[in-house]
Amino acid sequence: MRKPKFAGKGRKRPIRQAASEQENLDAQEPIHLTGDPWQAPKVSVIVPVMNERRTLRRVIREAFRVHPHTEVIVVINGSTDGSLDIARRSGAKVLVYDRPLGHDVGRSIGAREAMGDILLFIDADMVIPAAKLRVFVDAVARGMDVALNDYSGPVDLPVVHGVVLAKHALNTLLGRPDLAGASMTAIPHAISRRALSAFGCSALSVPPLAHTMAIRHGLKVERVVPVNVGKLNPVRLKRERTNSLEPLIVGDHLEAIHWWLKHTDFRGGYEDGFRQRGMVR
Amino acid sequence: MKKKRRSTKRAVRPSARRRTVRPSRSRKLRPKTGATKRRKPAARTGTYADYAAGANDGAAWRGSQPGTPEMLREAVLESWKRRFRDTAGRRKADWRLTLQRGKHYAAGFMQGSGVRAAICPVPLQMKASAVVYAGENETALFQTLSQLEVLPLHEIVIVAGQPTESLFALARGFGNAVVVVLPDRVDPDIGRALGAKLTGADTVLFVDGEQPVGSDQLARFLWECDGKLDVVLNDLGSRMGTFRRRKAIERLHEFLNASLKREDLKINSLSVLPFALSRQALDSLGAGALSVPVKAHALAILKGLRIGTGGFVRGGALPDYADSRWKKVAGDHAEAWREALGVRGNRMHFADSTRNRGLLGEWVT
Repeated sequence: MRKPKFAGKGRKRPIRQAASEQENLDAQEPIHLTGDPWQAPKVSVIVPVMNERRTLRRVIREAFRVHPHTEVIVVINGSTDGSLDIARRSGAKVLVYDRPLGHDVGRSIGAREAMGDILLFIDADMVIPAAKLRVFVDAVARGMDVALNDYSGPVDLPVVHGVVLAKHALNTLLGRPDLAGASMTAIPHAISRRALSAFGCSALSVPPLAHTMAIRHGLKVERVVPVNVGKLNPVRLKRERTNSLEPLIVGDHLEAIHWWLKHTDFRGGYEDGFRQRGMVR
Repeated sequence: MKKKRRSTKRAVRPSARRRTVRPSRSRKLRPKTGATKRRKPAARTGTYADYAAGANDGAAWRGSQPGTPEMLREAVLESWKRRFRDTAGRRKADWRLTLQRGKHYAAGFMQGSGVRAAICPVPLQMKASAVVYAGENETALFQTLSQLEVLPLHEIVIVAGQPTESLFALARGFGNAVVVVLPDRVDPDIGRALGAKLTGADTVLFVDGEQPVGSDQLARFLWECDGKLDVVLNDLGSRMGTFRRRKAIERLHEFLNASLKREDLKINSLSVLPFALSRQALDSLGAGALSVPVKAHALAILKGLRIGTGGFVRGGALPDYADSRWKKVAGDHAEAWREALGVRGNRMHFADSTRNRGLLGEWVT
């Protein structure tokens, strides 16, 4: 297979796609056809943004197409690249913070403002077609509480990335090895209003914590379809080298385990077999 | 293949002429490389020297007394230990060489003395013992004990719950065995913890009574523990294959190690037999800690004990999710993390310094 040409450093998308983006900009069509303005939205799509001008417009466009009654909530934090203008022109609800809120805090802020019955979480740096996003929303509409991206990361390696390991291990420990490496850490995922009230908006900032709470509360947490975010995600080699997110996310998983142990017995709810511990001290 | 050889040839000798020199040269080269390969183990002469020395020592030993196999074992170990100390030199940490040399020495010793016995001579500096929990399988227990018998062990502690007469007699039949009989069957982990409490040795080897392991493989655990490591684990990590194919329980092992910042331990865990512990480890963990091996594993890391591996040993199958033993190991991991989170804090030193949590208001607890 021939590789597409990239324009310079750090660019992952072929140049001709950037040109089509330009055409769309010229068209300036209103893209927020959300049906009856007096009706409460059915779906809230939450998009945290930090300097993602390049893809933001297309991301919002796809988000609006997920459902006829959709609100898109863009949480801009610490953006200096004009993302704000793009978001304002797009018809989305925009929440602005001057400084970076920190990883995934935007999800909590966005969820707090959401009015929909179904909340869909996506990232601003990755354009996922509405048809794919719709699958997650539909799953929740049919009764699921947390509809996860069925993506486990690269696992055909002897030693996997620390985050991939953490996701698998947490699911296993929670008695859900069937979820493999699926996690609320990864987008896209959709949740029900019921799930949101179970774990609260704040926990969404630490996605493995919300994930753990959902499972602990007996909510219906399932994998839906795979969206290969590893492939879509621009490779952030520089960030990986200087300021890797790995320790933060591993820590999130430990925070989740901590919460879980606080809410179960000392063995996490697992039986002890027939161990006569009193025999040896 | 041939092409490759040519190009390297050219790089080495740019002046060499193509047509005349190369084909004949390359053909000549082949046996030459073979010869160097065969010459490679330089230790060979060394081990032969060990054999000769053993034969000498053996003859001298036989001259002084009538020899029984038990006495032979003791004599070989003693004199090999001395010889090893004097001749080990810089490669004294090389396990394979040490084992090979020891075997040659023992073979020589038996040749010289005319007395024979199965023996695995490991030059240990400290007193070692083994702990076995006897299951119901007598054949497996017999095989296990037979392998342990040839190791330089001070004693073999065999813990048995409600043993049958024959099993008891079998265990008692081994010379340096100490048999602990319990009125009821106990959990194997509890049995081993009890056994650990009863031995005062400097190195304690824990083996599975249901899964016989060769003495050479076990010897390495003793060797690595002898003044080097505090905790010697079965190196499952050396044969772990890809992540996808691994069992759920191994993911827990691996993440426990990673969360304690010991990624180097891979999927190895104290919950997998065999393993060896030093006196230092036993005293600082306490024998009771071995009741929950995964928790003891986490504790050993938290206490900064020296943890390493003693080679790969194929053991019993690890419990899988559908398995009845699953709940036990999963719960053990919960206990291990509870311990670790208690010592290292909510995020176990993986701090979150970037999130503005003050903005978030209340958290559901």
